[in-house]
Amino acid sequence: MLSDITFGQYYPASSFVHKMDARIKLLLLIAYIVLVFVVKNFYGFLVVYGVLLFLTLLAKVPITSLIKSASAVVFIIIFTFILNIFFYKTNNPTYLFWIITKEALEFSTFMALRLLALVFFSMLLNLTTTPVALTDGIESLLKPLKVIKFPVHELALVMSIALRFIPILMSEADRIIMAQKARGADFESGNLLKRAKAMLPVLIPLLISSFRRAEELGDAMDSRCYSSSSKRTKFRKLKAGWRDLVAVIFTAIIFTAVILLNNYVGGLV
Amino acid sequence: MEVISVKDVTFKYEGAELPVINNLSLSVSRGEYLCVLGENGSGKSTLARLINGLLTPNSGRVAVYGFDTKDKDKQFEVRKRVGMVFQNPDNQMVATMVEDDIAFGPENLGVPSKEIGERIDFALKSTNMENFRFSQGQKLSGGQKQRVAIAGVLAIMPEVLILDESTSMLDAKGRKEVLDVVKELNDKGMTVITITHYMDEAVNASRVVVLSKGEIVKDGKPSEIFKDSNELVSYGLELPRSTYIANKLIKKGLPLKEGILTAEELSEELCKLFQKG
Repeated sequence: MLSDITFGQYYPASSFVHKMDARIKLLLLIAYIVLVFVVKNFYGFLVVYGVLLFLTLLAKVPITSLIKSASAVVFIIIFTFILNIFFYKTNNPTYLFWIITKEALEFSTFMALRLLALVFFSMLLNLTTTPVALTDGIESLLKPLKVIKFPVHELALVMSIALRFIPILMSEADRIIMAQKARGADFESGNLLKRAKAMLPVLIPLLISSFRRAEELGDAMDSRCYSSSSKRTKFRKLKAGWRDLVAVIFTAIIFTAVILLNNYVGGLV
Repeated sequence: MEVISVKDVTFKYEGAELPVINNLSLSVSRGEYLCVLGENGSGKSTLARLINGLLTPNSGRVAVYGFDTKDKDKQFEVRKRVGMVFQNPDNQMVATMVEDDIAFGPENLGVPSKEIGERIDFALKSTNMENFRFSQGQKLSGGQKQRVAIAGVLAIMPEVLILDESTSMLDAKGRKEVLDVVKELNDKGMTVITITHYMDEAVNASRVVVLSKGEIVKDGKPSEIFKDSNELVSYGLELPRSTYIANKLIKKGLPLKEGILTAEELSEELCKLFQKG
């Protein structure tokens, strides 16, 4: 049931993208997110989605898993699409029918395409990078913040522990729901408020047990000599290689291409 | 050689009326396989936490290889030498992947990355978990998870291994897997302290200590400890099944030897008796 939901949907494979440095992948993701919003015309989107298809094939991840991930945000995309159609205003609109204008339709379509591309790019990172590598990457990228005494290492550790405990707590919630059902608890009838109230006997035991888990984990970490001192070493060293250089150059070329397309073809075709 | 010395230790949890550990003294020698038995609330888990410095005594002194556990600067020296495996296998894993979890301890100690790799090899080999190096901890069985927990402790290269009810959440198969690994480690010279209320686990031990109300009430070889069943029952403990049956048979007048601990011993004795006619 609940535990079927997987987080950090890593798809194990040996590919160019899998072998890249997590830090570079994170930075390139940011670059592509910016790119998605820089794109101004149809040809630009052609390039963006072309790149997406190319990267997916290169990463050897099934296209279906990408599409599946999009289903989670399809509601938001449709919602913004409809809102934009009705509320987008321009100076001299071309009415197609009723109050729908050509400009609004274009703008909404582009916005939907942007959001979809954004989800696809983030998903590609998730599918090709293990949670550990991701948190390591984030820790490494945030390192400069240590200067202002920001607890970078602690934050990364908290993130990775949280990721680890999500499935455990999920299955525990499942168990508690089952136990409460066996005692006659009713989670399915009544209005929203009633149903929310019915979840209370699930949430409280879950909260208590997670505190207990936290305490035991703390003890276990203490006995394994944990301290956040600078003396700590890393087993896995992140290392950027030729693949990362190629990827950066590739991204730079795509970026330039899109900007050139923007300038020569203009916005909103 | 004495590796752990507990001297006149009293410990009381904040807010509690009675101390959990009451003027207790215990000395553990190198290479011993000590089993601490006691019912719930006898203070056995507290004793384990006192030994590796997670708790410090209100009075008295706990020393590990001469390092006082109260000395904050020497806390790492204590914990480096005393590794501890806890009860719930799910709550001890820090990382998702087995390999990364085992690396956690040595990373904390500042071991260089290349040596961490070697230590992971060693720890996985010692726990017969070589094939699970890249597995997700979540997908392992209970016994396998506890062996990963032991491996995580071994990577710190401790001298003493404490198992705090580490088999109580496992099924029979998982328990055997873990106990076999522990026995093997002890045979190679590791000092082992297991805390449990399963009598059958005491059978492997070279020495058994029975704890009741924060005091040591019995201390000796397993075969000696299990001789007097009535006394053990009064401490809320149960005999190992084979010992229980043997004692009953002796009472019925069968000339069996005293101090039978395992089913194998019992069946052998009975066969001998049968052959004699």
